[in-house]
Amino acid sequence: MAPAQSIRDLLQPEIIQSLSGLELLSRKVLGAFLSGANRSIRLGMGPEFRQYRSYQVGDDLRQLDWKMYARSDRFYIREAEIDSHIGLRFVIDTSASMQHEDGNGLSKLDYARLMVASLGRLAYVQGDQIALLGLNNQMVQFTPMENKVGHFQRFLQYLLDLKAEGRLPLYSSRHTVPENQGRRLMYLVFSDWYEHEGELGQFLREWHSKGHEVMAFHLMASNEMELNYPGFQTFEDLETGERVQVDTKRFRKAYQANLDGQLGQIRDNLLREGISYEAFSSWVSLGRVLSNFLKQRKRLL
Amino acid sequence: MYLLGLLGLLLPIAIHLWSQSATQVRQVGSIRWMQSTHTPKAYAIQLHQWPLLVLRALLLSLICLLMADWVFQNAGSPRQTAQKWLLVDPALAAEALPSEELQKWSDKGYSLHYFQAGLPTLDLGKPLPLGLSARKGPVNFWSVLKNLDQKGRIPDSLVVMAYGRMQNFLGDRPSLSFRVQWILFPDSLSDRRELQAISLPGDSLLVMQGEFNEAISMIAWQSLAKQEVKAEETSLLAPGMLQDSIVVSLWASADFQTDLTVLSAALRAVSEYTRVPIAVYLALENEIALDTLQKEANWHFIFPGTLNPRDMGKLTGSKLVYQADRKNKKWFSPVLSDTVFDYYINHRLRTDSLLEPQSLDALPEELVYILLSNDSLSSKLASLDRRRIAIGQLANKQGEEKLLRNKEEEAQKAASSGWYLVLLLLALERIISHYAYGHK
Repeated sequence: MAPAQSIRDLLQPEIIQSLSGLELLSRKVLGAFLSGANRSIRLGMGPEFRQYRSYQVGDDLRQLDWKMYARSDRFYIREAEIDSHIGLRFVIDTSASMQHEDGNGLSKLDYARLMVASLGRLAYVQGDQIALLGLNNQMVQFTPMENKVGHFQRFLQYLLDLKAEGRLPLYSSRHTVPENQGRRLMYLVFSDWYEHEGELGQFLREWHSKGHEVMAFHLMASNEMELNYPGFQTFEDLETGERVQVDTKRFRKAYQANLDGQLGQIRDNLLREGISYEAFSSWVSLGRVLSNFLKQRKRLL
Repeated sequence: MYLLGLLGLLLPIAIHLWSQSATQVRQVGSIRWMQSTHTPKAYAIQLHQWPLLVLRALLLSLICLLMADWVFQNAGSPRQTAQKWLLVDPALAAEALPSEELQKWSDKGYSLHYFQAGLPTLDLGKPLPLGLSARKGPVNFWSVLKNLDQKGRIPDSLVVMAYGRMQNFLGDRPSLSFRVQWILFPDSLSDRRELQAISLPGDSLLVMQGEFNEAISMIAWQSLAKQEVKAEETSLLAPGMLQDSIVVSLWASADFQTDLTVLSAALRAVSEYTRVPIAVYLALENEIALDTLQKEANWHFIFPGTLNPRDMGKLTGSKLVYQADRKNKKWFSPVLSDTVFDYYINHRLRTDSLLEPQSLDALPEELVYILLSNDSLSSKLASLDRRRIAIGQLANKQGEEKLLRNKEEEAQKAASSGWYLVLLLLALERIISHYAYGHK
């Protein structure tokens, strides 16, 4: 795989093929309703007739079926089925640390793009509304949440234009992050979790507390996980610019132990909050990884 | 000077010890989990990557040694200062050698010395130094040359002018690492014996003389008036050699035109050297009628495509036939089996033959021995030869040249191999360095 240069590159055929037949399911939505994908069945005004019920005080008079009144001399409210698919907001960490490249030359941001493009397509095809939010302290990039014709192309273009720079925005600057107009959404957050003041966790907790479903995708490059660099190395932090010299061969085990502990803590904190968490560190077959994730999710739901 | 470059070995050692920024800087998402694994600066000051250090030190040493050796080898190259010596037997210088002759050598760039221990300088126009003139006893030439060799004072060209006196060649002949060009003058005082005489036109004889001891067998040709030859030695006259000239027939097709030209020139040289008239008859076409040609000749040189093998037996005299033998280092070799032929011609007689080009110069010499000697003389020479020579010293002129040339070639090959090794080590150093210090 190579970094995506165009919209077409974002939709890798092998990944699309791997996700074929699968659905991106929202737990919260299914919890309230019984069947369908993420269809939230609401009754109200609409073209598709669902049922009649007796008029009750306070009902919207526009829903009165006058023909029924003419035939029966009684007041009935006509209820129609309104299909309202959920909204999915893909949140991508676009801080500088996402520029970290794995051994094959692909950065974490590149992988996030591929994952979001594939899942976004899946959601779009399901009829869900999708939106994109790129998050760093330099710029907040976002798209409107829609499912209109042509929206997906714009979605992909925004995805392609995302730039990794700076750090994650502080929670105190959350006013810059667009609101949801009261709708319940599914947040899919793609990040490497290099927070400085716990800012990302605060965003997730806020979204979760507002009733949205939050799924965290923790992205780590394989060379970050294993520190499989040869010999004596000088490493530079992409966000802070600090440098450190490490004899990787000598300290690999200690590093991995330290890392495992930190990752475990992140996972436990999120799960405790009721936030779904999934770690991705193998880039070998992204399609297979996503496919396994969706199947597992379906089983759990 | 180049060996001082070995001091540069300190440089890679210093680099390996104190370099802290030699490694490639890698940008990563975060170093937060590496803070506790940070290698302190003190740790960096130690000998790490020692295999790479050893390789670099080896590379530097090899380059220095090769450069030093290259400079050494080329220190005395002909392009710079060619060492050319002419060593003159003091007896010859005192008695017979005209100064004009020595001046010619001096003009050619030769440094003139007396041929004795210490090689005193010979100054033209000045008399023999007292120490030399008062010397008693002959100079032992072998001893002087051996001393030169042992001290490593080997010139590029060494010419010796001397009387060919046996008394100067006492003791065992040493094995020398250089070649000596001998210019020997006839000496009336020498104790030579006549071995063979050939009648020449007029009233003279071409006499082969020889002088033998354990160190040297000296053979010389001298033209003498018949009356100078002692009466009891007329038996030396080889039977069948009393003739006015030697008749030689050359049989060849057009393909061997060049060979015939060279052979004819060599025969002319032999005739001039020995003062024996040689009549040469050429037969150049195929299917030559045997009846019309010179069947009777002393020597027939036969190249392929001319004579019918059945007719070869009808030729009188000795026959040399061309039959290529790449391994033979001589132009001619005697036939050992019982055939109609007497000698084989082993190589094409031209400059692109498999023998070294200068071997063409030796062609007349070989022809002299073939044309003017015979079996009885060869046996006699063998019986008179008293030299005590180790097998390793039995090298003819060409062999010596090859010995010296081989040594030079070996040295050049060693130097070439050294540079190839440098290239190989350099490639290895780059590969190891690339992986040791990381790659993208």
